[in-house]
Amino acid sequence: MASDSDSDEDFVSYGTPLEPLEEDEPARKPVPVHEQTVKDEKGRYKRFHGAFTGGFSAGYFNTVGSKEGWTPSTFVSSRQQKVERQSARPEDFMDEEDLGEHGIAPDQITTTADFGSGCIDPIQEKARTLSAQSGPIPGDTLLHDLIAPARTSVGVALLRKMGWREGQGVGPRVRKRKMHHKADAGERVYGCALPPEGSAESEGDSDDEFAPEDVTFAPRDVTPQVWVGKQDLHGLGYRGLDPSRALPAHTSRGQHINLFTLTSDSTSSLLGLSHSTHTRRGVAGQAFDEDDESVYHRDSMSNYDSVLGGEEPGDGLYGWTAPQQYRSKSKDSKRDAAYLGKILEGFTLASNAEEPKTVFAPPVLPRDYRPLRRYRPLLDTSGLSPLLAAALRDSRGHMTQPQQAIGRHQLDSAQRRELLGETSLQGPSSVFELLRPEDQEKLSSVRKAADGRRDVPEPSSQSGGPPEGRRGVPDLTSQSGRAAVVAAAKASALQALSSRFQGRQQGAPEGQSGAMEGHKGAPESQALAAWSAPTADTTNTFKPFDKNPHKQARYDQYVSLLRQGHKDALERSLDVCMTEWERGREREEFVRAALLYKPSSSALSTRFTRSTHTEDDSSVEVTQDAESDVNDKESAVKMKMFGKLTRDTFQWYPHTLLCKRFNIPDPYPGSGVVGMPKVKRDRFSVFNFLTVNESPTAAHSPASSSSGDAECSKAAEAGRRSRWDVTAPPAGQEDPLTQLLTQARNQASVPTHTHTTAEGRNPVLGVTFAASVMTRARFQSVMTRAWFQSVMTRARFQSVMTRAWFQSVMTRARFQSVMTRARFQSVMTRARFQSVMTRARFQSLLWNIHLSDLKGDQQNDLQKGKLYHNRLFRLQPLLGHCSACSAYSPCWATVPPVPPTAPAGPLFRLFRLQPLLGHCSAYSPCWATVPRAAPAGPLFRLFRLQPLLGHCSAYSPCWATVPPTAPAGPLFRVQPLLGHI
Amino acid sequence: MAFPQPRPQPPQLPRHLHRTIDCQQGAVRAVRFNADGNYLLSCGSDKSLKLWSVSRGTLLKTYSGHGYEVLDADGSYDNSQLCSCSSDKTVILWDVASGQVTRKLRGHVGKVNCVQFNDEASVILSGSIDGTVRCWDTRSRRMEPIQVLDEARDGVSSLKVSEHEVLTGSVDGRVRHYDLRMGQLHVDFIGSPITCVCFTQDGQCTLSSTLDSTLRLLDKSTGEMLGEYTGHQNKSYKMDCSLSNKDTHVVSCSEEGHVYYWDLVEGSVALKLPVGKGVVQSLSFHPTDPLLLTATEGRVQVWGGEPLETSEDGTET
Repeated sequence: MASDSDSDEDFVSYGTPLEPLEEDEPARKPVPVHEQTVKDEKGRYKRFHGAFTGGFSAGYFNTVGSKEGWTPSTFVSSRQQKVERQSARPEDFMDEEDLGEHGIAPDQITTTADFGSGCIDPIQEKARTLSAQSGPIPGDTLLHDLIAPARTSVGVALLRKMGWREGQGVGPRVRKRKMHHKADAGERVYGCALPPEGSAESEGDSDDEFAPEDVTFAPRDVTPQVWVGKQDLHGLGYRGLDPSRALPAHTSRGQHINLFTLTSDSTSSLLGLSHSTHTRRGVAGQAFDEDDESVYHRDSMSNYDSVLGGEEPGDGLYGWTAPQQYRSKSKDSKRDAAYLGKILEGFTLASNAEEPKTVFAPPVLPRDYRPLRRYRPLLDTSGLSPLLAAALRDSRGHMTQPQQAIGRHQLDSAQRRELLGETSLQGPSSVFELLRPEDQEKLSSVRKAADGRRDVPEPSSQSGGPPEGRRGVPDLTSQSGRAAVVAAAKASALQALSSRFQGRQQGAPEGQSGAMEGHKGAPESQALAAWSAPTADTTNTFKPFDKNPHKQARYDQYVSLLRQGHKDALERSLDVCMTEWERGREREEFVRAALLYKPSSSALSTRFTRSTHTEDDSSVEVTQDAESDVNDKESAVKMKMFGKLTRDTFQWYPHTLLCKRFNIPDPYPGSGVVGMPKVKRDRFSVFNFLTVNESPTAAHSPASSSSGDAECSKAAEAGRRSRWDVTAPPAGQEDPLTQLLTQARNQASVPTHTHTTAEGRNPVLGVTFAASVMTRARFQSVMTRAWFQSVMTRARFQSVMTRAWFQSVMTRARFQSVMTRARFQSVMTRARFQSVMTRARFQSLLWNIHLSDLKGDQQNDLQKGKLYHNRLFRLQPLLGHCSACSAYSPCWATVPPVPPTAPAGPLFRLFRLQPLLGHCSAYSPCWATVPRAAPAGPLFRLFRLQPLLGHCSAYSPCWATVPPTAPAGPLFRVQPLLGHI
Repeated sequence: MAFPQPRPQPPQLPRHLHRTIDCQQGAVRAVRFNADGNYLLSCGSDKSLKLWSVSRGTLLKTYSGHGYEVLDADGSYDNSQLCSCSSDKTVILWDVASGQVTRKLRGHVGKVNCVQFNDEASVILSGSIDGTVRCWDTRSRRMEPIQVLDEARDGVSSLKVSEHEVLTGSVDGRVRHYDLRMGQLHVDFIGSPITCVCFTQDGQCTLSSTLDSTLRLLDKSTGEMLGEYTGHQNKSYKMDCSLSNKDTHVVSCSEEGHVYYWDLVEGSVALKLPVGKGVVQSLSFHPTDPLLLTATEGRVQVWGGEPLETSEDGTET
């Protein structure tokens, strides 16, 4: 190196130099990330595009076009100038970017094969060898090898001129002795050391005893250690096909084939000799050599390793160049001996064994565990016989958990009472006991009057009417009759209660199933609307499945759920135990039956609308789990008995986000409930205003009775003044009332022609009683029903029409909201349409199947392309309704087809549009009658447009009558138009 | 271990007055240690919240932004944020360093009695006289609470948050223990209005003080009473109680100007520490050391287990 004063210029600088700092310059803000852009050399933004050209944009917006668009090259070839055949090279499709330094085909200066060393491409060489063997002279390649051109690179030539010889290292010559000492000294080596001298060189050292003092030697040829980064996608340690091994010809080292020793690999193979001194080829870590000759030759087991990893190939370094002492040290450790596998390149055995991960076994599932969550079907067993109920329970036994396993919240009061072995409560068994005695008397007198009337024989009741209505009228005065009413009331109360709570519990899963049912939701919602309508008379329902009591029970439950307005009534009432197919069938049956036998007075429902705010007014949200009694707790606190007596535990749903913020998994994932689960209760219930007798046997289950069902029993004992404690029973207790009203109505509906006045009065009497205890809304709904029935007795109905027919008529009640059926029919009479169009056409119109009649269409279509073809044929019926086409005459279609001999001028087709042109005031209908013998000059065609031109004031109608003999100046025809000028 | 463990010292009760800080902010409604116990927060009736150094007794920062007297405060685990609640029905999240209001949370319909961060300061829980506990999200910009715990039938007087539990004491005489992990709410009926609740350090028990001048130690899982501590006077004020740093003693304020120490197991009064003439309104026990803060009238006093050798520096008594 020249040690000049300005040595700066000698330094080689890499990279982009930083801009010189100026001291007075304010500190620049760093460019934010979103403003840092990459541009190519043309200043365009490099945006990531896709796979081509490294993912950046290429060409002109990734197209082969240019700013002017893509212009295909024109191919011109003439006899004189024949086009030269263009061979498209890949470079023709590359631009300078691709040919640039970072492009896909960098265009740079490289040494050619001729310029390079004598290195021969081994693949080419093999190909040449093969071709030579198949060629005419089999030993062609031998000759080629014998006469090898002297091809050495310029660098080698230069080195040779400087005195270098092959096999020597490059550098100043050294003394042998020194080198020897260096090797023996065992100096400490820090960091990465050069690899120790290989065996090839050491043998030269060992036998070289003679080393004169003044003789210098060339340095050893050192193969530089090359660290190659991992660029492929193979696994660690994979070594692919080694071409130097695969190809027998070791020509890559620049050797010639030694013809004269037969042991040379290539020559022998070429000459067809086989020898067994193969180098051992291991299988481990290498792809199989595709050595063609060795496929069929006989192999022996000695060619294979019998021990896994027994002998290490090569230097045993695997490319790792740690100092020798460390390597040898790690060798003798016990663990290393136990380790059989091959250590990957760049890896060592860990010094500390990793702690084995403890894997805990998953909890053992119980044997009867099923990964399905089943919801208990709600079966109304209260109305059935106890035997049947027991059978039902047993039949479901194998599918669901045993009864005892159900939590106490799911039990109802009766079940709990059974479990505890308590006797049933001795509260007031009937609503009637709660009434004042004079009211009771009044009611019984009413009843007696009705009974007296019922003695009159009724002929139609046996044949038609709903069976339940007649059958189920118990005698309220007698003890047994009252008991029957009470039993029915209790049953329905229980059902209502349990369904209410079940509804809450099952709310979430059925929301999911709701989506599944979306496709058949229309009839269901219709049924729901019909049954849950406020005026729906749902007391007497037809029993369509009377023969199958189970099915009827399910249907009854479905109907009762519908009445309460549950949207998922259908799903809840079906039996879970049935197969999917059976359930699907039953689902359809129920919906159909519910639609068919829907309450009769739904016609009236059109007169009323559901109030949107009633629910808010009449019900209030209460937490489902009520706290147990405070008095007990107070006494417990006084006795310092903290613990179970003073503690209430509720389900509480933390918000999902709150759980997330607390880093806690959601205890109820997907529940959607937040806080304490809420239940809607009636705010103003009948029994908020009735004084309830306190029963003497107030058995109270402490602390545990927090479920909603428990309140049913509690309310009956009802010592507490809390408002909510008493609210549970009304749903059931109201039913006796409706039962009562039903009776009142039924007695009114006894078909007598003489007692019409009583019919009107009696239901009202019943209703007045109801009004004293009922809310206004409910009273109205009952009242309207009663009124309806008092006006038109059921018997009269039945005498007029059969039930089925009535129902079928009433399904069209929708029309009645607009007009009566009679009026509708009068409107829809076809007489009116018949005057306009044929019946078939009307029907086709009505059905929207086709806009025209099919036969006529066919005939018309056959005429396609001919004169008779009517393009507007299909639209004709529509045109009749189009008000703008009032000029259309229905007789139009009957216009006789224009004879084919008629002049088919281009405007003649306008004839068909005549009716449309009718509004044009200038139009003269006699137009078509222009004689065909009229002069047909070129402008005569205008004649046909005369009516349109009629509004042109300059137009003289006598114009056409100008004799043809008139001087035919060019302007003559335009004269009238020029008149104004 | 080369050395045997030193013989465990008998637990020291903070009985020596280390320092008296005159807060100059009216009556001190509450005094609280921060998470590591190096600083204290004093809530004044002059609408200000002040941050003090415990060891030096110097005022570090005053946080003003409340519209009425500050009733409670808490510091986040990383000392970067404070929250405070006030009679102006708001909860304020403060930035400690700048003293600016990070968020002002409105939603309570009455004055807010107590406020607490959760462990990661991602939620602020505040209990109000309106009977609700509101859980405010500090991570999002939502101004509505995540959830409102409205189970209490009367005002919520005290509130503590542990890793996965929320303990609230209400004037309706019930201690409510919300277990987020189990999704359960345990309601323990005590009867008398509750002034303060707290967890023990081991998280197994709850301590609640009521207006019938009694403290009760209840088992958290079953609700059974493990201990009852009486002797002090607590009839009309909302006063704090606490457990000592090693759960050996129960500490409570008293209306006649003392701080009572009870032995946790025996239930006997271990020490009756005279603090001042007025009502001891608030106290706070150091999380690790035997250090106690008491607030009477306008002063905050720092009590230590051992007498301080050096004379008190520059604070007037």
